Amino acid sequence: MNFELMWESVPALLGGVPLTLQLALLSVALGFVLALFILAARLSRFAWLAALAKAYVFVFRGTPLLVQIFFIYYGLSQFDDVRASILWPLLRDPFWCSTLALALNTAAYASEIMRGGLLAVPPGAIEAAKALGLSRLKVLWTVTMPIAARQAIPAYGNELILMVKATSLASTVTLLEVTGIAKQIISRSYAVFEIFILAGAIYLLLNLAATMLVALAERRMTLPAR
Amino acid sequence: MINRFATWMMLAATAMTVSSPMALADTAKVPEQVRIGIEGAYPPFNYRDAAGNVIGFDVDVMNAICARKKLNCTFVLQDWDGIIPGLLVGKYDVIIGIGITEERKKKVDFTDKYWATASRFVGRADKNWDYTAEGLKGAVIGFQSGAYQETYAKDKFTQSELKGYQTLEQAYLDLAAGRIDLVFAAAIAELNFLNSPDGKGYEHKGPDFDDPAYFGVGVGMAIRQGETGVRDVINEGIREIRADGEYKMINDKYFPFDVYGK
Repeated sequence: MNFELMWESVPALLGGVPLTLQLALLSVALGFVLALFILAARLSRFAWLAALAKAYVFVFRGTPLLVQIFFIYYGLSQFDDVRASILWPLLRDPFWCSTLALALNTAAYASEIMRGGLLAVPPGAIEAAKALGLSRLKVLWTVTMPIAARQAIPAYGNELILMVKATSLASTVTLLEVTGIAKQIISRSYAVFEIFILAGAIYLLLNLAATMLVALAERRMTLPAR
Repeated sequence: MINRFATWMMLAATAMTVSSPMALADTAKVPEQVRIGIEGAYPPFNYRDAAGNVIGFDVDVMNAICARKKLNCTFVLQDWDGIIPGLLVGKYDVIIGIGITEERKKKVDFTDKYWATASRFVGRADKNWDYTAEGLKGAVIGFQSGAYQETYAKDKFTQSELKGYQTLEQAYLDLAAGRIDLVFAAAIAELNFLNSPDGKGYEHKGPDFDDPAYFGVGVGMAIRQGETGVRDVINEGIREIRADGEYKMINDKYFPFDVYGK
């Protein structure tokens, strides 16, 4: 073990943290919004819309994220039409390609997590609220959503942690986030063990923070025991 | 309790010896099985056919040497950015197709070279740069991560945007997509792209880069430090196939000129 090299490499690796965080936060936020639309489509009265949402989830859960990133970054850019389109300034950039792939991917999982939460709401609670004369919107806002969210949070916390780790795949499309920088240091020092231990520790710390946030949210959402 | 502690110590001691087998092995001896680490993504030197078998100039040269020196050789695929670590931890015994540089000599030993080439840029035929640090200001330059062009580019092309790729193929894809302006790699390896349909409209650009401090003295095979047995046998093999024309036969299968260099 080369501890000196490890110590010297810490600042460089920490330099990748902002990019890792940007990738994770932006794609989770975009994915969350997209997931709401997918969920709405999935629960829609129109069979074709529900089928479309189902197909989306099937494709994005069923294919590897790495393939999705390569498809968006290397695949789309091979078409002249894509390069001539107004989207090219975004699709040209490895950051936006990675963010897009991560967001599309997490949206599929998140919509299913939300659906699971909704299905777990006891029908009796909704019936009771309706019997009290609450409006549909009020029922949704004060009964259905809080219960569904409480059910969904542990699973969604899992998804957040997976997303932080998934950002490491952005290193395959030339981005120098934590893993990209680690690979770069390794290509000069050949100290795979030392540098990947450090990189792993950084992800562990990031996910410790994510875990604590999820736990906090869970506590906030739980009714006090009586 | 004491007994258990003693057992644990023994296990720990065994683990430590296992983790450094190099210290125990007779390094002058040639192993019966020689595993060759190869990238398999560097045409025409080494790449994979449709069935997934690794083929190319490197493979033919290595097979010729192994047949001649009665070595039992097998190929092990390894991504380029992990090719030296893979050798050091013993995933294979020899790396084929690696530039002989001073920087790498700190970690591994080398055989003699078996081919050599300068490094050059590839870029669009209709776009020219002044190929100096100043002139390349603002250019986006792609290369393979962990290749010696990366080290050179980082030291010399300080005013350009530099992008490292896992394979050269990916760099060419981004060149075609217009994400990068120039690919910086071994000139001979670039011919494969330039001669392909995708290479239409692109050409070699600028001067030869061959500063031996960065680009070494050629491309050879790497072994773990001190393993002179394998190295000497391979060197004999290279000399013999050079002398009796087998090298030339393999060379002519792939290149219209002698890639051995000066």
